[in-house]
Amino acid sequence: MVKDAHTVECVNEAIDDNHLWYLAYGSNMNKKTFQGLRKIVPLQHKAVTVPEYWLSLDMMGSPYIEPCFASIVKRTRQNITEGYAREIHLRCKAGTLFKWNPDNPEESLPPTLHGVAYLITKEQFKRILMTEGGWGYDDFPAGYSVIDVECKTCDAEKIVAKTLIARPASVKIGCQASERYLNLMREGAKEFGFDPTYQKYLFDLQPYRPDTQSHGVKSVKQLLAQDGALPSTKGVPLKEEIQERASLQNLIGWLPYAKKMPAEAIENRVHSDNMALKPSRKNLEPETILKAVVLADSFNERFRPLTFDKPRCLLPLCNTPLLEYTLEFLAVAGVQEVVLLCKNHPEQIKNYVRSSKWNRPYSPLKIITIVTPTALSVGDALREVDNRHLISSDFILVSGDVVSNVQLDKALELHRARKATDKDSIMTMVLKEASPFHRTRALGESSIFVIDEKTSECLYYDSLKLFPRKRRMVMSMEVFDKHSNVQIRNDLIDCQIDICSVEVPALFSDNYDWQEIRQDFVYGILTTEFPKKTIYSHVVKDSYAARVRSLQTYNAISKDMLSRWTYPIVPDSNLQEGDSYKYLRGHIYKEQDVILSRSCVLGENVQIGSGSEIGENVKINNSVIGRRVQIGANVTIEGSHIWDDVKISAGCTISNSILAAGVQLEENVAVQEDCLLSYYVVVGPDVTLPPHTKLTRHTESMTATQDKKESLDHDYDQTLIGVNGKGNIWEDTELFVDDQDFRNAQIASLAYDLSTVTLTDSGSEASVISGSSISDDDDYGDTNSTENFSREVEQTLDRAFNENHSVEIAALELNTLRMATNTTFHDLRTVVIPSILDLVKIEKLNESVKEVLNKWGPLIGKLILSEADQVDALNVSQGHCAKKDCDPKLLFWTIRLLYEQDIIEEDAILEWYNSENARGAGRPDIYGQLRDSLTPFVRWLQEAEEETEDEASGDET
Amino acid sequence: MTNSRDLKAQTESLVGRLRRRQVTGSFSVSLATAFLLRSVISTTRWTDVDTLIKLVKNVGRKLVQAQPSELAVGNIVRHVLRVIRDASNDEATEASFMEHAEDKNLFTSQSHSVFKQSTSLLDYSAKDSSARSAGFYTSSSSMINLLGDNGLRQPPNIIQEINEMINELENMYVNIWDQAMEHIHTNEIIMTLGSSKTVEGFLKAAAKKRKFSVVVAETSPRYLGHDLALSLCQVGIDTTVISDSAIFAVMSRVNKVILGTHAVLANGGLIAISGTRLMAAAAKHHSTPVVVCMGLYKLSPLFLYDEDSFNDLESPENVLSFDEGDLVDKATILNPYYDYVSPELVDLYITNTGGHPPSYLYRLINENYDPEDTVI
Repeated sequence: MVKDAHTVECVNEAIDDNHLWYLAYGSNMNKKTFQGLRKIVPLQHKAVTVPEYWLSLDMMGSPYIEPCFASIVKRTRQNITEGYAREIHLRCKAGTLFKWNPDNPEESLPPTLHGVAYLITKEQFKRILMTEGGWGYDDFPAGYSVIDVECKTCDAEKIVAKTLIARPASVKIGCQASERYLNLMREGAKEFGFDPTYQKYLFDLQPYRPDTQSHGVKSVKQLLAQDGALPSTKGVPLKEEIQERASLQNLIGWLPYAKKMPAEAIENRVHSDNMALKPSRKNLEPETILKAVVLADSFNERFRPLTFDKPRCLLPLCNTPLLEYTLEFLAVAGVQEVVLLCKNHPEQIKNYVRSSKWNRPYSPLKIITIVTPTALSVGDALREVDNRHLISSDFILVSGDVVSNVQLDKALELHRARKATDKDSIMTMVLKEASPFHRTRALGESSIFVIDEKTSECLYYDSLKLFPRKRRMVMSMEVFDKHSNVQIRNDLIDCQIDICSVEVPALFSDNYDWQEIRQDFVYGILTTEFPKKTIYSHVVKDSYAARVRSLQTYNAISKDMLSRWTYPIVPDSNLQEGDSYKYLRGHIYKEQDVILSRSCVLGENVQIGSGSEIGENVKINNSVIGRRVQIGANVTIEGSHIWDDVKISAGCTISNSILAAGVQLEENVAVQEDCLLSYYVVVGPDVTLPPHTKLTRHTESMTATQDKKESLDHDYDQTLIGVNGKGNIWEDTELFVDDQDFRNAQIASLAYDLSTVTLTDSGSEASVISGSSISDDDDYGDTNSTENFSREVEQTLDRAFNENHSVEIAALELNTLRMATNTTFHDLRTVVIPSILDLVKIEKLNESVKEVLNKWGPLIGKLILSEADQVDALNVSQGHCAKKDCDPKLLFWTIRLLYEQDIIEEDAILEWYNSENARGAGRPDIYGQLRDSLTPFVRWLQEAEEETEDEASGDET
Repeated sequence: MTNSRDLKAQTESLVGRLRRRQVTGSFSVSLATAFLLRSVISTTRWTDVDTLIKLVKNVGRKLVQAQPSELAVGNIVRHVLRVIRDASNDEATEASFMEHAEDKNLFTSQSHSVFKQSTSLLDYSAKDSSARSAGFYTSSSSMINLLGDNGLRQPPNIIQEINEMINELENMYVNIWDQAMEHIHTNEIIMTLGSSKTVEGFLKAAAKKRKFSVVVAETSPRYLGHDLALSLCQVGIDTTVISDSAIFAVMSRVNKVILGTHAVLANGGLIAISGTRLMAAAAKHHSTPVVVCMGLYKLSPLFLYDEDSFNDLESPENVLSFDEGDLVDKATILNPYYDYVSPELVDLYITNTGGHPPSYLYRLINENYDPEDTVI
């Protein structure tokens, strides 16, 4: 049916109303396209030329697949300049060499347009318009528009034909058509026997080379439909995904008018470039937006006094604020919107978020900060969430102090799958396996989970405190009836990462007394019949998850991070903008611009922030040093956390302590175990801070809301913190007021050495020091805390003896220790008196006793407040001498010297002498013998008393 | 059309994914980098080549810093820079000729003869080093205005070259695998470790025609060797898995060691999965040839100054479970992901452009990267 174009006869010009001429110049010239693809069989066709028009390849197409389509361009000027020629060149034959001959400007122009005129019906023309990517919109500035052109057939016959021309908005100069498209045109040109020069021209056009074969039309369609997948929420993107994304982004770049298009106009919903890249996907179903609720406040005061100045979630862990880890964790999990609930210091949190990388336009997640000043617990905060209707779909609930590299996608998937089958499932708790006494577990805050092994439904929950130890757990027998396979687990780190359903905040609103997510919510849901809801658990094995709950976990997580358990969340991942940590052998992380002296020794697990200077002979081990920290010569730092801008002068030693930002240590300060120096405290020179000292610039009575400046100038205890010192001891009053066991707080302290605790049940039966029972409380019988205490006391005394401290300092230290451990003076005496008496050298008893007691007797005196105390002291001394089976005279000399120093008064001695205890009732004979050895002294005392009484009465008479 | 914010978003998105290790592996990393750089070049306004180089370098620096252990990122950036430099040099020659033509056209009447002259000039200026520095886009920004265009021009050559590079990247595996027949012969015993896609395909390609056995070291603590062995078994290759400690013992029976690598440094040293050094050293002892299969994009112009500097220490979890609470406290556990293998232990590098001895690497580096770009 194809006739040679040259032999086509002159056609009947009489076209009726239903027919028209259509000029094809692009792929429609090709029979395959026109008749095959568009299903249009024309009545007639003619090869024609169109004077004053050129074939241009400047109609935008889809990038990489069909970069452009053909259009036509009208010659607008007769007198050709080079610029015009160049423009035409770029529009028509980009990619070929532009030649400019000023003498023959026409040479630079493409040949006149050749095309095929088809005689078709109006219906057919409509179909062409619909299929020709014109989008069918007249008011829309892209696509093709219809114009009339005058064509010449080879017989010089004139035909007025309708044809399509690209609208200006769709014109993209400098495009090259795809090889496929060019070939269609070339074939068509050949088929209709176009002028050979024109055919050659078509052959010389340079095709655009698509970069990959995989860029099929299909993939592009897919990617357009699923553009919401940006940025990737899944782990490693596939190769295809990268390509799709790249081409999508290119597409967006290529279609500048895309955002002005009416949405329906674009077949596949090309989103505006903004939408494709920012996670504000309006066109997606709400389920796909993953939200998280982050509790910036922990609703307890374990980090006081640090939290007077900074909210807990902004405290630095390994020189990065805690919140950063949580947000990073959520970003990896694919969370797109974070609701940040803060209570204390909301301004600081807001400022931080505002200036952080999360506030950038390209941030993967959007943070909404909500201030809940009245919330006192997690429950209150969640009720606030419910009131404000912040949540409309499932969300992840975490606190702002979680450090984790858990991939949540699997847990999320399971949670969603469960929701589909079990409507009552409202929560999935993400738990991490670890041994019960793992350092990263918050000691004393473990829990027991009863889990159905098959469905991983959580059947029962009970929280465990270390003290008082729970010995039994009550749960309903129904659990065993209903479930064949039940696990009761105590080996799970619960860092309170929960995937919650929308109902959870509402349930909190319904139950006004629920405070905690675990003790109240989970317990409540699982133990009550109504509302009938189920909670599931997801146990992760090989990733890391932990929460900074206490100073102890702070220390442990920091260690984990330095030894890379948290990989890829390690210092050298440089989470924050501007971080530049590099890993050095031996787990040393050093930022740029750190000045290390030649002789300093960095041990393992050390992190040093930029701008810090480390002096000569400094030894640092297991420690984190912040930015701009100055460390003088001969300083030893062990297991400590030194925050930004700290100044440490020469000769200081710091062990297992936290020095908050801006702290200054003058020369030769020793900071012992578990000290906490809050912001801008100054200590020194030449003092030793006893263990567990907490110093702050705030006064004790102050609450966080008051202005701190008022209290800054104030008389400080200079014996403790040195002549230049600035800071008050901060007593953790909360601990004693609260109904919880203070020992739970004690173990949460920084330097609590796990290895010294034997947390077995047998421990409670062990004996107590000095034979005297401290307390009948069964739990208190746990020797470990007592032993720990006495060891501390002994160490303090040893130091005092060796370094020849003044009695005042030693007494102060002991007193601090006593307060820190909440023990009594009796406990102190039971350790101190024997220690002092141990100093006495048996060989030269007389001199030695005198020497020792002259020096240290007053110390015993400081520990004695009343007459009962004196009696107690005597008992202790007796006990000591009895045990040591030393010279019986020791007791005599001790009592006599203490009497002479007016530490023990005669009434006390007499009372003791006459008491049952002293006689040694029920005790070895040695007690009695010791007492008897004092008989002469007591008699002398009595006589002396009588004498004085006589004198007194004599005087009266 | 240029939307620098979008570009920034794209960049930051890739930076984020690199940092979070959501995109890993030299191949996917380099593809992602190449795609990003292509859109940087195609969507940004730039008027001269120096601006473009600066721009690409800035983006490149961010990417490199995001994940310094992925050396392929830097390599792709350097290669793109090289492409730009080359293109500008080519254009410069054309430019100098255009410039001449235009000038003369405006100010002289004998334009025709001058044009002729300048055509001949073209031939000379191609080798003229002064023309190199001129740069097409520097000198002819006025020309762009002549077009009445608002500066939105495609740099077709550069984009084309980058597309070619991406193409090459995608075909890289096939090009390497095609050489398998030259290196693996019938009845040979090949030893390898880890699970490199390149090596896997290489062995499978050879297995189509020849029969040989493969000994795979299991590569603890990740045991990637297990995966490789499984995959080889499935296509019918006679495969033996050995523990890493047996590498030395078995080496005496091995004809050839074929290794994959994460990166190759300028001196020919490998950054490869840990265990590689052990295998290479054992091979050296037994004088077994060591062949490294790698795409050219893994070749880095950087030198190693410290054996740890390109290494990546993973979580010790694989070595000692975190559950072992007591031990975790007391032991320091290092779990390096990579080994450094010094170049003297390697005999041949098979790249997508053919096999090269270690002494030839410097030429490959010079061909692919400009010395000015070594430090991005």
